[in-house]
Amino acid sequence: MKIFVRKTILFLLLTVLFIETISAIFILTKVYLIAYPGKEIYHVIKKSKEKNKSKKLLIADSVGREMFSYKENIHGINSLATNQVIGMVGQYLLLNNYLNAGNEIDTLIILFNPTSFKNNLDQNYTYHYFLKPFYKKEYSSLFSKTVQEQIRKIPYRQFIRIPHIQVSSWAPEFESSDIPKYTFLSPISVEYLSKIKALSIKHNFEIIISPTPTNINKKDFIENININELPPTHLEKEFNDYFNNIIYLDSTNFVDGIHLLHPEIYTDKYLSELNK
Amino acid sequence: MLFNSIDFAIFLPIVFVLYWFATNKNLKLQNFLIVTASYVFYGWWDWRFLSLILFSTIVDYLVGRALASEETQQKRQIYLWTSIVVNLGFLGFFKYYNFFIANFISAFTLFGKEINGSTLNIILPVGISFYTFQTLSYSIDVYKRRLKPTNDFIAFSAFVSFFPQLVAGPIERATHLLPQFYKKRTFDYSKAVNGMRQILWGLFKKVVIADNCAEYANMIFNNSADYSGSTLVLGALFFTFQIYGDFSGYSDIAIGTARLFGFDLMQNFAFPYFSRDFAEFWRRWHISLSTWFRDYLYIPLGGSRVNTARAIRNTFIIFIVSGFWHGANWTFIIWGLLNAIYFIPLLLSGKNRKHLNTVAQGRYLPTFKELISMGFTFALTVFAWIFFRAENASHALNYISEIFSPSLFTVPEFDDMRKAFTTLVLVCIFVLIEWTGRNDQFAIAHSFSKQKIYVRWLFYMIIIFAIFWFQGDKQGFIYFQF
Repeated sequence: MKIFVRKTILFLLLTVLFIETISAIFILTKVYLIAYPGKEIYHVIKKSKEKNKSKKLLIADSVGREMFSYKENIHGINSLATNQVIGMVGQYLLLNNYLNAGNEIDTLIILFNPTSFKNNLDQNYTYHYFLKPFYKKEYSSLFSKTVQEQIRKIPYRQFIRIPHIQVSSWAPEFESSDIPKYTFLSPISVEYLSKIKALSIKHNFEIIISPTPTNINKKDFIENININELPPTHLEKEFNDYFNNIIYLDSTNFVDGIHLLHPEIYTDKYLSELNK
Repeated sequence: MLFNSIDFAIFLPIVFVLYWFATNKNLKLQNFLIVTASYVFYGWWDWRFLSLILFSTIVDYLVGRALASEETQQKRQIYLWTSIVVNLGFLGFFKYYNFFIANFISAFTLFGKEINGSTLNIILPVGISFYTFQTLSYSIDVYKRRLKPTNDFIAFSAFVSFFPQLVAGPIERATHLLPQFYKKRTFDYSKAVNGMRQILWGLFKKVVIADNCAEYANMIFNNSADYSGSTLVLGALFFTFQIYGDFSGYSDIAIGTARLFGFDLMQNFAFPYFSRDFAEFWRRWHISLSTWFRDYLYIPLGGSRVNTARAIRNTFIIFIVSGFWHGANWTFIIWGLLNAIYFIPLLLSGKNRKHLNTVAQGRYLPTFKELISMGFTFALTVFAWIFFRAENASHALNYISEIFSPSLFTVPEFDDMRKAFTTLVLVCIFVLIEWTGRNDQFAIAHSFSKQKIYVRWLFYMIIIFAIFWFQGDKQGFIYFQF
């Protein structure tokens, strides 16, 4: 019995050492990004810190990413599209990186599905897609009180720097117990859209908020949103245009009700609309 | 509490230490610890349904006691039926009530009669089908005088609620498991090490194979209308490995955990996808359920030792009931029916006991004939799984009709092909390991057993690393819903 316990403890210690060493090597050599779920966030963060001559910058959720991959530069639009899990705070951090790198833009396009603004860092994937890449000293001064409070609700958040947690897609079960009082704009989205607006004034660029093609089954929900009752973001005019531009498609156009079956069609349509 | 959760990783060592260090000198206390731990384990999911387990336990314990002191056949039958009605009554209400009401209304509507009836919003208690069958085995065996009724309520409670196999089996017989609670358990080093190995392999099957395959199986089955025939075939294959990895993985963890506490549970899976015909498949798939139905339903009906017509009837009954056990949906019944159809030709030709040994025994590779029969059996299994996984019968039929369309001959296409390819490579490696270990209780039971300790440990560490590195999105265990 004692031998079993002793050997088990020794084995576990050696296993931890083995796994953490291999994971650390994977992190140092960036090998882990080859097949890592959510790897595009790391690529986008890297891209957001690089110099770029494009005057049009796009930030987007995963539907927007299908239309404008961060890997391509379509019609002079520099895309930093990732997904909605990073919340509006993650989008703001990318924009902030981009401007801090000395880049200048004249237009910021926020390409979002109407359901994506609801993210309040309250999903299972928040741990993997937001905490791991963004919960760092580098960004801590940019987190509002609301963001900090939300992060505090996520279990095992202290573990994200452990090498094997960092390289694996593991995330703890996390379902916020709060029943949201909002249906469209989450508190974090409101705060960080306002911050984005403040940056636009400081750096003198225009903001366009555009909808991705939306499932017809969301039409009732969207039409019930009263724009005048939305919390103030200083982007009321942009949201007005946003709601006027929503294209509704039936379910057959989507892979899973949200993501597009043929995104390329809508990229072209969107570009011609934008040029008008 | 899920086996693949941090909660369980904390729970298990605590119970293990208390079991072997704090309560090891007192059998009753040790059994009491098992009952407490089992109730905590189950209550972690939903404590309200503990009352169901406790009620079943009390009823079957009392039925057992009553049967012990009763000699009149008629009264004995009444006691047995009390147990059957209570246990199957709970199962029927929680699992089948809505199904029967909905079908009852549909049947009347078909004949032009409108009747009122409403379904209820019923939560299915996790594992109800498993522990119900386990406690029933006790009442039946005591009634048939195959087992002496127990007068140790704590041991009996531990038998009913034993946490490693409480929610998804293996469904143990009272004759096999209950006596193990009467005997003092002594720690067996090699048994415990073997248990750890089996837990490790079970976790690999669940976290790496099942959870990764689930991602694609769900994506393809949930949007089957959008995919080509070739992609749908791939979807069915992903589900085939998902359900095997998921369920046999759970069984491995359950058996391994029980070993850590000095218990032996029955083998539940014996490499079923290497079967050469359907009779062999059913001797290797969910063995504890198949043998339960064989012993308590098929044989009492006469089994195969009756005239041909009755043998066919019995086969249909056992497979349909087995399908229905899985869930209140016509898809499960069709799945059972299909398996009966696969099985009957073997029964009629007297070939149902042809393959009793392991395929390619004593050889590394199968013969061409074995390969063809394994491939054929596997293909039919995959086909039947489509019904098992589909939302309803028409979904399954549409899925199948799309498979047999010209798009079958196109290249499969869906999101994130690279990750899907990685999953396929993992499945191939998994199949290879399973093949090499097919003569053992589980695939890695004797892998590198003759090598030095550091080689063995390195092998286990690589498996653990693979679990972390290749883990899929966390999914619940499929068989919890049954």
